[in-house]
Amino acid sequence: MIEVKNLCKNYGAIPAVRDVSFTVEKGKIYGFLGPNGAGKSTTMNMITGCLAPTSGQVLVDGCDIYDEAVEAKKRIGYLPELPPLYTDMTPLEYLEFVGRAKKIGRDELYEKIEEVMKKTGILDVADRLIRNLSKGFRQRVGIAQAILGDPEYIILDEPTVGLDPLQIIEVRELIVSLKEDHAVILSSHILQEISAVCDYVIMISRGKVVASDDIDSLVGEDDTLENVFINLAGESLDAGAAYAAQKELEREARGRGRKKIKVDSDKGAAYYTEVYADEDNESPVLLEDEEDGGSDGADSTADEADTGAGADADAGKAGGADGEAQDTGKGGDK
Amino acid sequence: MGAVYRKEFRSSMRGVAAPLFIAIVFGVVNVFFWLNNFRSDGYGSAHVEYALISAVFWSLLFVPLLTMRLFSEERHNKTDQLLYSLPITGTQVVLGKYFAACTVFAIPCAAFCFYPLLLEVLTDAEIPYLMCYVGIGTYFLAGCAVIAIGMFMSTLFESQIISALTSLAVIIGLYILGNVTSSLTGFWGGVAGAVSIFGRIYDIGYGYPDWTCALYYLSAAALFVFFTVQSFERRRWS
Repeated sequence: MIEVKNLCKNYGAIPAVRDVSFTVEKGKIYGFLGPNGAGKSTTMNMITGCLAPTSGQVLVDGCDIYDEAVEAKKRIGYLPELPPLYTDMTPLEYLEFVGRAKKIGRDELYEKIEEVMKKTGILDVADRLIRNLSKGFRQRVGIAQAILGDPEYIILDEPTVGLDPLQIIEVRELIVSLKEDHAVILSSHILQEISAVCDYVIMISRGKVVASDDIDSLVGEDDTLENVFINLAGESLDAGAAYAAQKELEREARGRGRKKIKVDSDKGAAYYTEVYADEDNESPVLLEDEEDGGSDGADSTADEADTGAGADADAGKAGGADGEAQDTGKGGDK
Repeated sequence: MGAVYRKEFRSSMRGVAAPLFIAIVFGVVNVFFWLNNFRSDGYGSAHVEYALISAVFWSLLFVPLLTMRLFSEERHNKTDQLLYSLPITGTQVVLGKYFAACTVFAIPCAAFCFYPLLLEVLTDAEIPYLMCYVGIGTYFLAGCAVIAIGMFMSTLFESQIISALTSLAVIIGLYILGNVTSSLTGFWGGVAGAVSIFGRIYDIGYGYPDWTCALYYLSAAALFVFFTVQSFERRRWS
């Protein structure tokens, strides 16, 4: 069992993953879902020991991924978002290297390599340099290294990216075939893929787990995964709309000679962390009229006000998410 | 460690940089070997180590060719993610890469072991074998120390070029420091002497084996291998 406990990761002051907890058991395929920038890859990197968490713990069959790294990693096969391939090697040489690093005995190494090559359909290109392979084949080589040595837990970050429809079907079949003896965590943006393959869905948005349940329980009879995804993870999708609303308020403010606009809305998923502390007040708010000659009163043009809003959103990230009023149109004299 | 060592050695020998480095080391040492040991005026020396002492800076100046890709390339291609996720420790990764680079350097050094025999055959001089082989061994260890420095530099930068140029600057800096050691006294003279990698090899030119010299190079190599492990592991936390 993989136990992910209260995992947090901050990049500087920006929280990328916040208090993520879940468990993964053998015999199931877990779909790891979330919009771009939600923290999926960061979480996967932490589970596999590629990245250290700011706080929290990952236990793989009771072994801490950092304190007992070698033992824990023996049980994990990982395909990152970008397959980590040495392009000056052939798939055979590459898998030899990975197999030796995974401490597969010499006696069974080539047997196991052949087995995963067959499973992933790369036997015919075994002796070609990886740099000369198509993206689809490279992806397969990446999958082959992840499943080589029969690790109990297989973590695949968008494994079907770059594959043609036929290859996608093959990879999905491969993933399903792994289910019996393994636990598979599968990250994907393709909701149909998650629906088709996974038993359990962990949905992450803005670095937090927003749903974690069996796919049937989560979706229900009358709904679709797409709707659930949009409802649960849609906050960040709405951020773009909030930004548009903010711009509208600015225009309105200029038109009415307002001086200040409270800028505490984000303008997209990439910005959410900058204002997250002020999540209760995410919508742009037009402040009360202020009298001319206030402390911020100064000449300004409509253009300044227009560009100022974006800058203020930026200022929000630097100055903390306190939602302080920002000067956008200092046009009190207008 | 064995897996990383094999992979690294094979990859480096397939590329251009490692064979080029071997060729340059051969070329530079051979020039000095010819000038020191095969002089037409009859004053050629039977001491192969003199040629190596003369060649040490000019040959090791090209070590960045060997080390620039060690970690910079992994970072650039994101293959370091594989190394972090495999059941091997950071120390094993670093040692595997380090020993692979040292093995490349060992190829010309192994060939130099035949040079005293060559002198024996081609001249009628009495060959001081012990000093010749101590010289070759010390030259190899000096190279290993410089390789460790270059490897550490490659963990600091994603660009191979910047990694190589920084290593080059450090090597030249150490060489200059070695040359100014004699003009410095007191504390700073001691500091300059302590970090003077190239100056230290002159100690084997006095006609007797100086084991402290070998110990110095081994210590320097171990120190920078340690730094490299720390730097490699630190990236996991960044």
